[in-house]
Amino acid sequence: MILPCLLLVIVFNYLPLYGILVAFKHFNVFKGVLGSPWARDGGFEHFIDFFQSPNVGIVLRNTVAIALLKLVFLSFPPVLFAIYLNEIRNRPFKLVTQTISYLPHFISWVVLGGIMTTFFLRTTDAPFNRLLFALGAIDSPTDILNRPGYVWPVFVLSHLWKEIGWSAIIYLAVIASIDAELYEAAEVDGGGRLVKMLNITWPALKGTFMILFILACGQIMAGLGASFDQSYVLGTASNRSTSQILDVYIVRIGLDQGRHSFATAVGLMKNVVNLLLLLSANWLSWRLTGKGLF
Amino acid sequence: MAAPSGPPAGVRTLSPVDAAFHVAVYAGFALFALLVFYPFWFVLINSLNGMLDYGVSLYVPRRWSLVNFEFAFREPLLRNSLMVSILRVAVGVTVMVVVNATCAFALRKRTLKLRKIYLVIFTIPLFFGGGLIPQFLNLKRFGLLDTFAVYIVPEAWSFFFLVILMSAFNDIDDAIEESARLDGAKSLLICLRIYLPMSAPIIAAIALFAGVHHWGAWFDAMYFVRSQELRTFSAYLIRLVQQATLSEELQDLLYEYRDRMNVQGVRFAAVVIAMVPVLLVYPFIQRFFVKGIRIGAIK
Repeated sequence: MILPCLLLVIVFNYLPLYGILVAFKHFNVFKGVLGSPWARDGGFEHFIDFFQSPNVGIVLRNTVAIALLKLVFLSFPPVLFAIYLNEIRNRPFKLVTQTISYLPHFISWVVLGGIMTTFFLRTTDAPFNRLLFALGAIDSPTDILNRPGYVWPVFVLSHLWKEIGWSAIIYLAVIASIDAELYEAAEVDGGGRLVKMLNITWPALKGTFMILFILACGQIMAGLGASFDQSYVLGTASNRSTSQILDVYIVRIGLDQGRHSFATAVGLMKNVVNLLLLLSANWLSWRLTGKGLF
Repeated sequence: MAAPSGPPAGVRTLSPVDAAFHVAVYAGFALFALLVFYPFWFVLINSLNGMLDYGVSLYVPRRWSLVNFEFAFREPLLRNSLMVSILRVAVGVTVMVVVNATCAFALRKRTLKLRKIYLVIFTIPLFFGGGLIPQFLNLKRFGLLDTFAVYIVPEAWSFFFLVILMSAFNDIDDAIEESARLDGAKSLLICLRIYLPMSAPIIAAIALFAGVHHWGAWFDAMYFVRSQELRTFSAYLIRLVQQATLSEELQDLLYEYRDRMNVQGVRFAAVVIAMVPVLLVYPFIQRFFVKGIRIGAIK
């Protein structure tokens, strides 16, 4: 009964590995993978092309910048969210807040993109512009979704908006399992809220935090979780210089323009770098905290 | 008074600092909830707005009307994509549950020979893959491009569902399996007729998750499929939202509705149609899933 699953994994996850050869060839659809001629420069033509292509610097910068911003600004807020939500004693209030906070997690980026394009519309009566007018921040309507300078904050904040409640669940679960006596003992010793947070709550959450952090490091070249959908859906011709990430570039080059070999080479480099980042983050975690993923 | 979960709040009366802290926390979360909720409210009221100008409403529709939805359900391509998506969710979820459940049933026992090897085989793809183009060429070689099966088969196996199901099945008493075997039941029957129903809450959670995934999937529908008849609703939506050029079908119908609505109304209605099924099931999912994570974390 393992067979169906095993077959699916082999056919759809392992067989494509052989297609990596395409990266080292001048792939021709009619000649197939093996029949196509090898690429120049000992097969590394496309890799060399990649680093000489003028767009690459921009795409790489966008990918890494968005990933690092997300690594910093999306890792800690869920921890704080969980800690503060746990301070709330009114059960119905807590339940309603928490239930609302999960809601955006279940909405796809396609739908969210649809919401955002109307919400941030470049008209005077769209909600975002009205708010800015009311605050006296602008004189004429802005179009932040299409202005390259605003793309990164928009990506990070909309991602935070979407996932903070969901990411906090796991921390809430850990907090719930902390022995209440620890807090009582800290109170007897005169420990305040901050002392309890730093000496009891955070140490309990640290292990989970590290695991999620290591996993996130393995996605840096993918711009970090769901960035592909985000970049594809919110990317426009006018904001491409800051919104396009490596994965979207691969789709555009490989499938829209049909440059299979080149796109495979780019994808391969991306996967290798991601794997190396994951392994180094894991190694670093072992060195620093004595704990790791594997 | 200690709440059932978390640290005790303290029995003493609150000091001014504590009181201010509590007010700030409550106010912060109330504001957060509003911030999350409002964009959903915004698209909902605007989908119910029947104004001809391109202006938007902020609190309630300026003129209540169902014309946007009437239009959406009359648009042939939208209707077709909706049917494809519904079919995809139904077939996709069933296949996903059956495939992963049968495998989890076989792998659940720690005594199984080669179990470690199987698990390693299932784990490696999480960390390394061929990438988009090799995957695309692979689908092509198996003749899956431009078929409905490309939505179902490559996605059927899931590492996370497999692991969750393995742990759920592991909790079921082996005596049940043994007595079923004595009655002459085969493995497949035991798995589908006994183990699946006994893990109903977890199966439900997984099915809902798989359903949300299939409902929102758009990439394969845009790049692995060409025919319009096979386009999913999410792929339809992405084009409707992004593209300035509208399909002929849409334009013809818009012309017919020209004195009642405009294309902005269709966009709002389509976004709402995409949200509604998810909003209906998500309270159930989150309940199951939060419970599942809690159990996992405590273990």
